[in-house]
Amino acid sequence: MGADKAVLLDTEDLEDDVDHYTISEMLNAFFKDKEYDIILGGNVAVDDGAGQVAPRLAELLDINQVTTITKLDIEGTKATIERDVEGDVEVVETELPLLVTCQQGLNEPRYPSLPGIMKAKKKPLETLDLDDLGLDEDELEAKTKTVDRFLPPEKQAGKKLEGEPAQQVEELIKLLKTEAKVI
Amino acid sequence: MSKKVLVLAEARDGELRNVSFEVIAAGKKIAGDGGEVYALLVGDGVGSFSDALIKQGADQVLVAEHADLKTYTTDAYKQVLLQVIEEQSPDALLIPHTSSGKDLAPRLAAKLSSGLVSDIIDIELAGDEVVFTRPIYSGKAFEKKSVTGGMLFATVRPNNIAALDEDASRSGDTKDVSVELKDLRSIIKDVVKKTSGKVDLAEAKVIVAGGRGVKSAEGFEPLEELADILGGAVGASRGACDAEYCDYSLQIGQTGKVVTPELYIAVGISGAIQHLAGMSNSKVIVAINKDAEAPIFDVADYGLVGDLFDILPILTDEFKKVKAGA
Repeated sequence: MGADKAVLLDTEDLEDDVDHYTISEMLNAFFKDKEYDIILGGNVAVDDGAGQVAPRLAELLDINQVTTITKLDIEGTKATIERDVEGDVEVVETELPLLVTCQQGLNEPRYPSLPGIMKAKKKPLETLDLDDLGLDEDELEAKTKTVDRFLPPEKQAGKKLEGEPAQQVEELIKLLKTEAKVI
Repeated sequence: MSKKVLVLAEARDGELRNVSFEVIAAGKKIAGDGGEVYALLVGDGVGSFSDALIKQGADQVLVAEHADLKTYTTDAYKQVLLQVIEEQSPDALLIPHTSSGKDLAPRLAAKLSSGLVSDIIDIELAGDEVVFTRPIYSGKAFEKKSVTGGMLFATVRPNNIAALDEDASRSGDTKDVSVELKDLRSIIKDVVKKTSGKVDLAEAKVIVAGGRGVKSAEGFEPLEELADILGGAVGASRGACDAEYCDYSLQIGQTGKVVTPELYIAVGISGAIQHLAGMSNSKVIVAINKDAEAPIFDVADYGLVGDLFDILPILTDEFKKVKAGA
């Protein structure tokens, strides 16, 4: 896809006790002695969907953040950004260094090419564990706990209405009134 | 047992959002008997909302007004919240899981070195422990979480926790919070309104959403008409947005908005898993589609098989009659 270098922060020492606090502290430990102009993160993870790690990291590094961005222009140290605010577009100006989280529409990711895939195998991948980051297990104890995980109750199979459009509509209105009670 | 709970109210386009009342209701539950809910209003010219918050259950309202708080920015709101937390020392903090709440809450949690449970849809009390329910895997499963370190802190998904009934006889204090803002790093140059502003998609009780089957931008007109009759909002699948039938601001799904209205009418939407992620927790789902095998029918409570352009006008007429009769 185009990255020059990759680093893996290994959470193996932490077993299951990992939450957004833990991850952001690990990232902070990694970034704090590095030089950077901009940190790009995802908007939310598809599985957990919380969207906490990136803003937490920005706070720990004491840099500004702009979340859910859809356009990014950088000139010198000035960034002009468009962000999605529940459908409206906000135009934001700020200075680097900066953390942003990316929303759909920011750009079209390129498709990895075969030569690119071959070259990727030769790129460096560094793995860092807690010792490498100068962190101690005890400082990273999660600040939330998952009590339970469950599936929603199986949804009753829906009703497919029959007949001509007018009959289907009539039946639907009746069901929405008497059964679903939403109108 | 009883707790002092701070909740952040939210106004948008000069109106108080309904989620403000929902966080108060959530706060009441956590506060328990003898506990108190403090509602915080932040903005410029928002003090007049104080009365509504008290009638909806707030015990005290704090108002932080400043010209630089008119539009949400991370730095400014963070400073206000940190100041109020410092002054009030609440036991718990609830923030709406909206665009600004999502931006603000994790940052506050990091500053306070606290746990945070995001996007909650339910609260249970197990003795003195507060357990939050939240969707995971885009609503395909749920988890229950509690905060074990720092402040009891959560963001609340709109449209899930019912607001309390308004009680006009309630009274409570309103107190101004004087704020000094410094080192604001983001400047909002412009806000381009793309949403119609009629009904907020995230808070709509009824949503009429169109997909590729709508076929064109003009094809959305009957959907808008139906939404108007029902006092609802129009949404869209990614397919319809990609095909430029409508703006991305209407997109519902994994990469768009997640909505949980009381009634969701999916029109010409096949029901790709990414779309289902954004709407499958709606209370009642109606699907209208030509293809009787479309996956949307697997999540729909009621399915109408047929041409949407035949069905919609009849449906709109019938709803008109219902509304006129009510």
